[in-house]
Amino acid sequence: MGLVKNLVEKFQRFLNDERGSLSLLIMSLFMTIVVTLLILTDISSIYFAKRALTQATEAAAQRGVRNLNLEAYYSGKYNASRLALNLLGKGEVDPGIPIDCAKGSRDAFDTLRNWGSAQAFIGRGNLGAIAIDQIQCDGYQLSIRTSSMATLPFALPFIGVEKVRISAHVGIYDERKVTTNYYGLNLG
Amino acid sequence: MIKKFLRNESGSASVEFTLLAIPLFIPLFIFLNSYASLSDGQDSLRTLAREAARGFVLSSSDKVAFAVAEQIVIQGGSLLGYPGPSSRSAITIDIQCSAHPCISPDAQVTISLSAKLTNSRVVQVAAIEYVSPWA
Repeated sequence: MGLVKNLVEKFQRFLNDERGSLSLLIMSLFMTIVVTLLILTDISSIYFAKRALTQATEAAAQRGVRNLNLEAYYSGKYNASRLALNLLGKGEVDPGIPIDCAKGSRDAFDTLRNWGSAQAFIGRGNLGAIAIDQIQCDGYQLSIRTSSMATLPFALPFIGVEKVRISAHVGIYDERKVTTNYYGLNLG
Repeated sequence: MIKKFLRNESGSASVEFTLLAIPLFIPLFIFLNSYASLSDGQDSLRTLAREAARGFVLSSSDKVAFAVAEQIVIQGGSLLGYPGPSSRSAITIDIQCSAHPCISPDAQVTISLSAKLTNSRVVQVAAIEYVSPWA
């Protein structure tokens, strides 16, 4: 009976003793900061990987959209009555610049393949192979949806996530440059 | 006197905090600073490389293209806080073309930039662009 009472008293004294309590506080604060830091590092790493993927997709779309559909571009007859209507402000509305969708898609694919093969050199080591999920072209606009797996610098504790799928979606269309060049004659 | 000093517990919390917190938290701050600086350097240089590549491929001739890319890097770099060309830690440019002259239809242009950061780490990035098929 005396032994139990002695043990209870010792335990109560231990609970009331405040020596070393700061160490516990600091250790728990440290652990919280470390876990927060790991998560923030992972988030920023995904952000930068996403930016790199968007830049690669933009480069691909910009290259693809340069392929003009010459047949559509030069279609239609231009004559004196069309010129007169244009001058009166009753001419045709600019439909946009037609794109050769097949060639544009091929070029966009080729650009992304080149970016993918030069990934380590380009400077985003944690971005995996770039996959093209979708290329859409309506003859005037080209849009590309890509995705890739970004490797996290620190695997998230408890849930074991090591890679995150990121995606980028870019759409581009051509625009005519406003010039004073009329039918091959540059008026300055 | 010494025994009395050793047994005296006033101020022990400060000593405990200093002994524990400094070795634990300082490496964390060093890591955080290093990671932030590296990420920022990579991101800003990559944007600069891409802008320089865009400027290069939209130029009318090789002479203009090289000058434009260089100016974009110098002026963009100075806006982003990189030192000028005379500094040892200035941004270095390397331009590779798949055809000669570089401004040829469909030529691939790769612009690589490298810079030494304040923590002596070297960051290298690159961007690929293509000259217009109508160039």
